[in-house]
Amino acid sequence: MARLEIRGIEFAFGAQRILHGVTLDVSDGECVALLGPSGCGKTTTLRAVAGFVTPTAGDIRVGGRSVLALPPYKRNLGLVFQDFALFPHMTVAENVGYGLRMRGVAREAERAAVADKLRLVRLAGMDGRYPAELSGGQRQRVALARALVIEPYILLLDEPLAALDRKLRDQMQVELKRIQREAGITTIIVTHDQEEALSLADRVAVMFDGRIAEVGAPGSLYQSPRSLGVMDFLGGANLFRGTVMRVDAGLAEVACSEGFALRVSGGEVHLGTEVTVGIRPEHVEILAASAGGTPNTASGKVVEHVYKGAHIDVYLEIGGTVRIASVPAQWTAEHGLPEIGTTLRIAFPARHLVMLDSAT
Amino acid sequence: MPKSDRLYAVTLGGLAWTGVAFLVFPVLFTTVVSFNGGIFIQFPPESFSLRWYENIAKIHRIGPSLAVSFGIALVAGAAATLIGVAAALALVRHRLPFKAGITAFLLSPVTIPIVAIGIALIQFFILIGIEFTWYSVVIGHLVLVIAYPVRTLVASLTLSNPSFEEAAASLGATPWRTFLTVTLPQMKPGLISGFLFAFLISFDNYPISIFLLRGDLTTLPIELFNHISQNLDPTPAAFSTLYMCVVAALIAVAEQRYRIISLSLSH
Amino acid sequence: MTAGVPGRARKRAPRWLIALALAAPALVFLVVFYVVPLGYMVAESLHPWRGDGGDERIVSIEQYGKVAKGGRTVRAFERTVRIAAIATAASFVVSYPIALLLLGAGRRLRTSLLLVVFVSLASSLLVRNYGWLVTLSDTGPLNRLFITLGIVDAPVRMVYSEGAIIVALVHYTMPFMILPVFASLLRIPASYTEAAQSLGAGPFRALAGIVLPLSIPGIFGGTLLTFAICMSAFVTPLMLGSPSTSMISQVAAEQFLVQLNFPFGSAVIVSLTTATFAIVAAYTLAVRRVFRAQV
Repeated sequence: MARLEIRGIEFAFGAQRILHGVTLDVSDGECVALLGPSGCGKTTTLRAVAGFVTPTAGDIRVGGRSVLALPPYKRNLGLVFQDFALFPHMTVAENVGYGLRMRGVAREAERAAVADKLRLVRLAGMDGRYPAELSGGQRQRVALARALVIEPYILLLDEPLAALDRKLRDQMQVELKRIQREAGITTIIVTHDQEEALSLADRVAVMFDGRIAEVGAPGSLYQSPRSLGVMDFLGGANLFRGTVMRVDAGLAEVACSEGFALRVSGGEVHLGTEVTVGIRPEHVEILAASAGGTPNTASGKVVEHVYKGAHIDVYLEIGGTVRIASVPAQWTAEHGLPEIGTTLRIAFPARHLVMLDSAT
Repeated sequence: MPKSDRLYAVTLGGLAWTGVAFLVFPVLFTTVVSFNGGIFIQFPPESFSLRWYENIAKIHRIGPSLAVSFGIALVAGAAATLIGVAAALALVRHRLPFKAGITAFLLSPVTIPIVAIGIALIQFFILIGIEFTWYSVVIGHLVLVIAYPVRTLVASLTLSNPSFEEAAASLGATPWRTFLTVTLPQMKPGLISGFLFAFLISFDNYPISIFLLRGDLTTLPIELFNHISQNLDPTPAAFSTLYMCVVAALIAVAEQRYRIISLSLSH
Repeated sequence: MTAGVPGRARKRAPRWLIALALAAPALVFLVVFYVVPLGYMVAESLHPWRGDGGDERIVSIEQYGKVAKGGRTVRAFERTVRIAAIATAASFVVSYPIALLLLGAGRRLRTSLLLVVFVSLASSLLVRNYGWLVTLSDTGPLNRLFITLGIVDAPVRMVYSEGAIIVALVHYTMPFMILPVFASLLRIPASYTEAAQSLGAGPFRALAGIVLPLSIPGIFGGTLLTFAICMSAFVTPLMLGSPSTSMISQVAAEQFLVQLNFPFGSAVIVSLTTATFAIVAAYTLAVRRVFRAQV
């Protein structure tokens, strides 16, 4: 295994520029997710690392050495494809051992390594089966074993769970995480599914339009992102535009266009600047009707509520715009379902408010 | 490019382009030879002349044979396409028992020796006392060429979406109108390429015609073949060149408007 | 039309009846003018020939005996199988690289090449064979090239030989090989070859271990069709061969058109058809067994 350095790679397909200078460092043994909407360039970045795409500028270094001049079959990387790409005319054992055969490993050693990896992915005893006889989850694991058995420098996963159904996906997420930890291998996962990225990775890199917008640990990226795009993409977001009226001991008071004031931590801003403030729906609080007009509160009229199982999304019209408050199902058990048309007092606790850089 | 990639590209390219040259050169040579001023097949030509193109008109019975071949091909092609449409509908859209067997049966005339068709029919016509006329040749050609529209139309229908027909029915269209306005347009690539191939194969056919022609009746391939056996001049080269131009133009237009090539690759 | 009220239900003919009615013209036509005549031809092969002094009313297999013993016929059979096998193998070798080229080609090159292949497919057999008469002629381009290069002093006689037949058959059957193989190659997901490459297989090893095995359905279809076409060859040996290179279809035709020996001619054709089917069946079984029923 090794560390990966992606340095300002660019790529254009004909007249269309796909990557605009992507830079990312992945430490030895770390698992990083490339997350973004379709068309953001995450798969292109992965394929550039794998060697199927040649960047028009920039460098890719594995273990300190540039790999750009190397064809895919000389880079020693493990690739798991979205459709698994298991060779239909070979058994599971022959599939997993393919990379070893390409490296001229002796038959006995190959058999031992294959058996070992099949055990790792919990498919021991399936050697003689053909891919057509396996379920989706099993094929996934064979693809993983095949990529891991060659002891690659880096493991690259392209939408690894996209082909699986919901229940299987949850199970495989846990499996995948375990296998990655046990193998201790540097890993990059490409996904459009934020839940997958947040649950599997040590760090998440969010990409928009061929650039990395922000990189961070799942927790901090979710709770306090710096960029507007990331806040909006990861989970729901309530966004307020306003002007900074006062800065006082690290707390900025922002006058929102809807007519109320929000106190946000974010001491670097100057008076009079236009800012965007965000808060996640699950952090919005619904207060008792009697609550007064303290800072960071507003009135909202209920226009809709949507039952989501573990929680309920309440759509509130606040100052002309609809916002969402997510309340746990437990809350409605105690307070009853908010009726459409009623007006409620809403609170936006300062500790959950995030000042966002609207340029990203 | 890495070394093994380059070696692969060069090897593959070399072999492949040699193959393409092999495919194309005989026609190119024929074209060059057709402009020869001398009276033999000569490469390179000794002079430039269009006389052999004029001489096409002097091929024995060129006029009648051309008309006969064209007529037979038109009728056989049209009949094969019509019959093929009905058969394809039955095979793909309706529940027909023994579907695989019937399909194999309809396509089988292409796999048996061509002369068998001619030989079998000549005996059969004698047995039941049918006269050997223009129509008997059409029948013989039709046996062979039915397979082509059937194949392309089945492919076309299989690719098209039955939901369109269901949508039309839900909007009030009778089966006949659905067929005319929804199904048939979707079958265009199959129709065009099926008819085209049935026509061209019939037009060019020698092995069936040779058995079924009598008396005054003659077709273009027969006359052309006779000319080739009896003369050494490049007139057939001129004819070939013209013929290839026409076929190439037809295929190019059919492909551009109806995408017949991707149809043949789909199954 | 009144909205919202379904029309009165009408008794519709059962689906299978409609299907049968639609398929009937094709089926009836082929039964009358294809199956029956072929059957009659088989029957015709089962009795002696009037021209030998035999009684045409008795049933006997003596014609097949004549086929098996007749030196000329047996030689023609051997020659036909040999030519068909060589031509099929050669056609495959020439066509597979072209199919691979098509696979890797950009859109414009691919379309142009496919057009070339398709036009070949649609072209007249006579025209294509004539092209070889020209190319292989004593005064044609190949001989001209040999003489210019100093390989020979005088033109080499290439036409009217078995070699010329084989070359022309390979040329004729190339589209029948290229298209199914290419279709098969198209169906291999790109991720398979990329997976092989990511595991360390260079382009040659990926071709041998992944692409070739997975294109077997196309190879099988192409070779089968090519072989059947070559076995039945008639016009090609007629134009490019000589009496000493006769193929079976020619022998049969001669019996009908020249000797007017219908029983023997029928027996010859039935034997050809049977032999072709037998070889095809054996080939299919062999391929199925070796490649685990991929075809």
